[in-house]
Amino acid sequence: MSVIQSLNDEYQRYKALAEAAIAQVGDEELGTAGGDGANSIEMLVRHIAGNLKSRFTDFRTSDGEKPWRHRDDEFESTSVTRGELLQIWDDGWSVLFREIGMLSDADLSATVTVRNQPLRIDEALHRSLAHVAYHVGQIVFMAKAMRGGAWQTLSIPRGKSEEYNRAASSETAAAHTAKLGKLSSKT
Amino acid sequence: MEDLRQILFQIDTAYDRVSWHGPNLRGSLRGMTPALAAWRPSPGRHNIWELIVHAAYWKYVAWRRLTGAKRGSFPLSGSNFIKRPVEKTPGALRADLALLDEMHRQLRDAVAAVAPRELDRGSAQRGVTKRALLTGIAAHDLYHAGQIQLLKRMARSR
Repeated sequence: MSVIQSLNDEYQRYKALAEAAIAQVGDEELGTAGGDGANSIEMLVRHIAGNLKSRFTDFRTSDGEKPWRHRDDEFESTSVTRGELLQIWDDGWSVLFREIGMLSDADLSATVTVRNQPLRIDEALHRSLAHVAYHVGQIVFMAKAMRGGAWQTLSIPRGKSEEYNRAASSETAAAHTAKLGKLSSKT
Repeated sequence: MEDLRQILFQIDTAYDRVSWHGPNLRGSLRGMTPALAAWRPSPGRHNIWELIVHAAYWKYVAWRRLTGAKRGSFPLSGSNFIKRPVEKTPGALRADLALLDEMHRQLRDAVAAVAPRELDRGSAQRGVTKRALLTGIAAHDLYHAGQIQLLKRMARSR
């Protein structure tokens, strides 16, 4: 497995985790703050998508923080519909996956810039994946709080760890992503 | 060697080295108190303390899968999410934070000893290369660091 492939698989896993969580919350809950004025799921979705779109548009040839990105706006409440929100989400991810699809491991030591700071491509990708994982963890946490007992787990069911460990035959990121995709389509 | 350097960079910045993306896992736990760590947003939800032990457990699992070590050497009984706290004391919290640090150090030492040519070979986890295993465990730290930051904010607003 190449470095690019392993990163791509993890990105896909976290995208699927967020989507499986978002699918379980109601439309009005998407805009509900996470407590004490914390970000809503909708804000985090727009923030992740905005970050990916900015970082990976013309990834090799322009700075990752685009002049057309308005980061602060990503944390303002809006009245977008679920459909519009998911379109924003998909737009951000499609830019990332298109760019990753054009990369190979031979490109990893080349340099890109983010806010005028030069970074190796592998470092830029690791940073980006870290950012995504951080906020997807928050989306899942909030969605779970909203669903309570009706929550459909996205990982190992409570009390099933030992059973899972004995038969953990499909633990690749790709296999996990596929399972999450089925969950999203059911809810 | 460059490959290994990048994987260590991922693991280090996700855990306790200065990171661009905000608090990493250890940073999210700075100044943690037993009361804050034990706070639950609602009955049955995990608290920060359980996330600490959960992260330690999965670092142990990653180490075991990386090295092929046998099961059964995690210092606590149970797996995945282990109920916490047993005692809501500073000493008990320090012990679990020390466990997290120790599981991280053990994993990091094992990663540093991997021959670069081994990274794309299988781990003890069927179908998962060592590289994929390690990329996954770094992201796992940050997934829960984001949740810990959220839990802290929620707890302080109550």
